[in-house]
Amino acid sequence: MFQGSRSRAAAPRLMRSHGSARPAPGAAWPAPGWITRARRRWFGPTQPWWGVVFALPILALLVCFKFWPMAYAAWLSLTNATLTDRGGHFIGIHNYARLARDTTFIGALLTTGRYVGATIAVSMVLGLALAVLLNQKVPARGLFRTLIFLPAVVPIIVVPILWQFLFNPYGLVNDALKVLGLQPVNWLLSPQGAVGALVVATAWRLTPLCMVIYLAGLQSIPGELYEAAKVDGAGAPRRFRSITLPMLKPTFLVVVVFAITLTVQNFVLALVMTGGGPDNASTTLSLFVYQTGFIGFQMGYASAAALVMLLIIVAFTMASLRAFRTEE
Amino acid sequence: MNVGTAAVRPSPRRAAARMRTQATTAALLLLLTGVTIVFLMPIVWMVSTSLKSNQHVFDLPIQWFPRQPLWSNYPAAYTTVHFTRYFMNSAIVTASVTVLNVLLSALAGYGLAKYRFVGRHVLLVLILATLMLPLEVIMVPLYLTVQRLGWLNSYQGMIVPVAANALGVLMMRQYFLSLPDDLIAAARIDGAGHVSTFLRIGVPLAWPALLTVAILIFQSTWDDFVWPFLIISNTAKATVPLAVQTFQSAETSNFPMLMAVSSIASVPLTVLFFVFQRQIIGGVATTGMRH
Repeated sequence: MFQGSRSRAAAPRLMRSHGSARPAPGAAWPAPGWITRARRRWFGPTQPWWGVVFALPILALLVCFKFWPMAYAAWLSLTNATLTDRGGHFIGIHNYARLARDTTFIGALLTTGRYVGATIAVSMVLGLALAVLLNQKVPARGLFRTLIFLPAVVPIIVVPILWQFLFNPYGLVNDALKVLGLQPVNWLLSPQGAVGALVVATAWRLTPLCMVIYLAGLQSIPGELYEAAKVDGAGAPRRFRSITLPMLKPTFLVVVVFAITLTVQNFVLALVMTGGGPDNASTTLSLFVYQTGFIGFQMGYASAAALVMLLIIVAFTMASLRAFRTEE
Repeated sequence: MNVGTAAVRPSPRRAAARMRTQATTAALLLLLTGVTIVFLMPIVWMVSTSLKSNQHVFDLPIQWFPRQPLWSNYPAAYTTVHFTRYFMNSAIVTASVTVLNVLLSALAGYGLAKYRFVGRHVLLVLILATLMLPLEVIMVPLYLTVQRLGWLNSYQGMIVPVAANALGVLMMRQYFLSLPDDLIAAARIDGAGHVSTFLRIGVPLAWPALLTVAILIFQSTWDDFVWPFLIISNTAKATVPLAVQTFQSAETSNFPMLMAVSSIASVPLTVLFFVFQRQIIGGVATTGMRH
């Protein structure tokens, strides 16, 4: 099938470019060389088309449950579909125009920016510091690594439940603040505190993951570099700045993309810990999509917001790819 | 040369240097211990609270180890939540997704690594592009699709859409690329078919990669909350994370019970982590991309 459609379209064009091609006796269209080669390779003894057969099952699933929903989302975002009226009517870019005027959506966008920015800053810096510490020659560092990794093992649904308890007005966090001589904060019921609580809870789980990725990066730096720098009289801070940081550049990229994708998409923490409150102050973009689609039943409008979210993820991925590429 | 000069050095300086190294090590150990305590404090607090009675939860000074631990909170939490049923549901869903995903990933990874067909790079990029597409972006249309299939509140609804995960394909392809082609060619020349070559040469050689993929998929599926939360409203089909969330919304302020339920729910993944620590940490480090 593949072969047939290809040869009909390509043969005349190739005839022109290779004027000297000799017609095979009895054939209506002479088969140009590359088609014969392709056919021989495709159906030859190695039978490469079997590769497609092997990939077909997962491809079918991906088409049904990734590509089709993606296309469906793009279509839905241009309609006023609801849960009951699933088809809806085509309304053009009305949903996007409405998003641009929707103060809740703009608020969600800003909250996401603050939440993701703060979480990533904390996890990346803390994760790097921990990785550097664990990369030193210390006794029992395997044990430390295991123990510090444990927050990443706690089930995702337990994280918000646990931190909601810790951020209780009389909870452990405020106890700690009192010990330090600071004023207790009404974490989950104040706009600033709610976002802050989300940042702490997310960073608690994300930092160990970042740390592990950094550690893999650190261990791939050849030790001779440090030896040579030591011989040249470079102190520890200088070695960190001139060897560790530049050599970790590809790792930073992995960590940034990983952390952004994970924090932008996650709405379990906001949903369970704060429910987006107080007064939508901690409603992130993904929570907005969930609430619009599954509580407000505005499937079209929610899809438009979801596409904006995808755009942000892709844009940040591309931007960080470029930022880390061009400097090389 | 370095060693030579060190040996000639007068001994007081060497002793001082050793002192310095020991001091550094001690400082590092102290710092690491402090950080570890901070990171583990919430977990310890969870377990500690789960052994208290509700009126002593916020008692000051803090009791990290309750004087009279209420072990009875655990059996009570287990029976109140009907954990047996939800563990069964989670096991069914997670095992099915893992088997399905490992099988499909191994097939696709093998096909993409060992056959040089036209357009294989396009196909690979297409498959890997789905890794950039989080569930949260397509949850609305995916829900509508599953609803039309009549799969709401069903096991297949929780299993089939989630089994389409390209992460395994990436890892399996990477592994099969490192297998020498000669092995495959030898089997083919001996007359084995494509499928039997895959089953008898590819699969037995790839078991470390298969194990890693299986563990990572098992972990992320067991931990997944969002997808079951969207499509399951019938508690008989709920998975463990869903049951925990339902209990939490019903008993918001019964902290000891809540923490006991959370602790019980954390056990399977913690055990999995301690058994397969190398694969899990290695998987996070190499892929840097779990879902």
